[in-house]
Amino acid sequence: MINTIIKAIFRSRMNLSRIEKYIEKMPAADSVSGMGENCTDKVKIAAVQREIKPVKSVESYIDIIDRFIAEARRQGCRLVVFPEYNFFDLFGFIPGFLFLNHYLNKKAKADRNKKFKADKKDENGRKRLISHDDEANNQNGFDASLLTPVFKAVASSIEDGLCRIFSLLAEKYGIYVYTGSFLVCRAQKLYNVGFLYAPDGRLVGSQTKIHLTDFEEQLGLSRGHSLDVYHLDIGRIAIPICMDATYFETFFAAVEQGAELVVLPIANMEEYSLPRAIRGIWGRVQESYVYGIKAS
Amino acid sequence: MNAVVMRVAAVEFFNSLLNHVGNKDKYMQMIEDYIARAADDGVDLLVFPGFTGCFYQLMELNGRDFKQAVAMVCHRQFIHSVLDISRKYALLICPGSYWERQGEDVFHASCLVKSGQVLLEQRQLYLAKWERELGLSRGIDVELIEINGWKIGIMLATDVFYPQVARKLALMGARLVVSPVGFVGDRNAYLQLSGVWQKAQLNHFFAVESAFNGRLGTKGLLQENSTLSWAGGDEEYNVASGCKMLWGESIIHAPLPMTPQENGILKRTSGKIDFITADLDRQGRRQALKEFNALAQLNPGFYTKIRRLGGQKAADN
Repeated sequence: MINTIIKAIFRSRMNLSRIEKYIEKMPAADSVSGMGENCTDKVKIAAVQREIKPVKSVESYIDIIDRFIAEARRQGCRLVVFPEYNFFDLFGFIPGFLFLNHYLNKKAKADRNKKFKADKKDENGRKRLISHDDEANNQNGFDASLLTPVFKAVASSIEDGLCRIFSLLAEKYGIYVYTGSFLVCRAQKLYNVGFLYAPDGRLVGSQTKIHLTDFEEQLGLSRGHSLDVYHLDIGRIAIPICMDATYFETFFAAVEQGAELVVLPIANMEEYSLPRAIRGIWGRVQESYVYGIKAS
Repeated sequence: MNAVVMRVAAVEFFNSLLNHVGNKDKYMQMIEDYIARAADDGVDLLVFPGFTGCFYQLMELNGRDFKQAVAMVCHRQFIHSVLDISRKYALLICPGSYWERQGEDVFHASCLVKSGQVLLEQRQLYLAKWERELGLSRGIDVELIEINGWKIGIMLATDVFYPQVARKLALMGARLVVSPVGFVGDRNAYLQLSGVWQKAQLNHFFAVESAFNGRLGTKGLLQENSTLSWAGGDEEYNVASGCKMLWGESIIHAPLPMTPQENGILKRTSGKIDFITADLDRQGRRQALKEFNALAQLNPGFYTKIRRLGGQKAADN
């Protein structure tokens, strides 16, 4: 019942004609010289870093996205990259969204407060350096799979709406836009997928996340099994997602298909730390000699 | 007996140390001094820097240029010397690396020895450009040894930059990897970070990285604080003239959650000390894996399409 109501809310709020009308009424993009369309050796690109801001209307979400693309365009960028899970703002549509928000914040806090004990000894009396606190691993007793029906209920409306938004904004500004990723539902299975739109608003392609996190497994997500490389006038681009960059295999596949740029949307529930961050795309770029563009 | 905790140690060689070596006997005495120190500290496994044996071998062939020396090199005397010393101490020793001759082929290799026996041998799989120019051959596989419940492998020199080597070791069950190293070119901490540190984090094994700092070859040893450039451009000239500058830092690695600052480093020399130890906790590692286990999310179906990993897709394209 609740899921039916949530589904109805999203269908109403993500109405395509409402989206089209709003974007149509927005001020036209300023013309920018020196976009580098004729320069084949160098390309300027933009990576977005942003916070999730729950919104009450799709228009508010469009405004957020529009500002980033406009800024990228203003700076002469030919591609702008948005982060993973670039749709959580829309859960502001749901009256009970605060519950999910509370859970995510609580988990982040638990990770921050993780404690390690250094007082255990082995049978030879040696000090054991580290013992992980099991309590920190307990995700507050929350069953992530409870969210799965919610995501399935809204996936179709979100996919249709966001694809339209990013297509229209890519066309409005005349640059490539990577949507970031969001959950899509295919044959009753949820996937984490990102989409790339061309300057004329046409869909270039999409990429499903190949390596999932434990949390995504708990959500019941399914994973992809292939990686595509898109040959564009700005370069040859692969668009894997977050954890995919923890695996050198992803970048081997990209390089074998000729990739020069690897675009990577990420979103982590834990607090930022440099050592955790450089386990990802930084290391893979050093191994494979491609450019890496991370949006967080 | 299965040991929950293993105490490991790594040596770091400095120019100032090597300057006082003088001859082969003094060099081997220096090596024994480290082994004795480790034994006194209750160390189970001691790792010497990459090229420790090569340094010895080049002393044997003093006066030859670098390429001539490698062409004539033999590893037996160095290994026999190490085995002799190892009989006096009850610990596992990785004597760094050496050039191993087999017929006409010369490999860059390392090993683990204990009580007069070689327990594991490992040849370098991926050669650096300067090693190819020297005419070295490369190994074709990795192996592990299990000691007291710990599966141990060796990842040697340039192999630390090839992620498939570490992945294979991890999938074979390695819990501890020893890495004798020495890097060429400009000193660059980020370059070293992209090697063993990355591989330990993504494969969740402990690693003991032991580094050689100084001049390898017959041209004479550098003085500490020498102003000689370490620039990569000089390296080609150095090979031709009979020596090679090497750098690196000895570091004991563990998965991030197991290290006090969550930075993946249990102990490091920071270029200031020549000997570090740490206790590796197998139970702690298992706990850390509950937080982050990249190996649990491997996607083998996808990897079958990658030609470099034996797959088909790229070849078909």
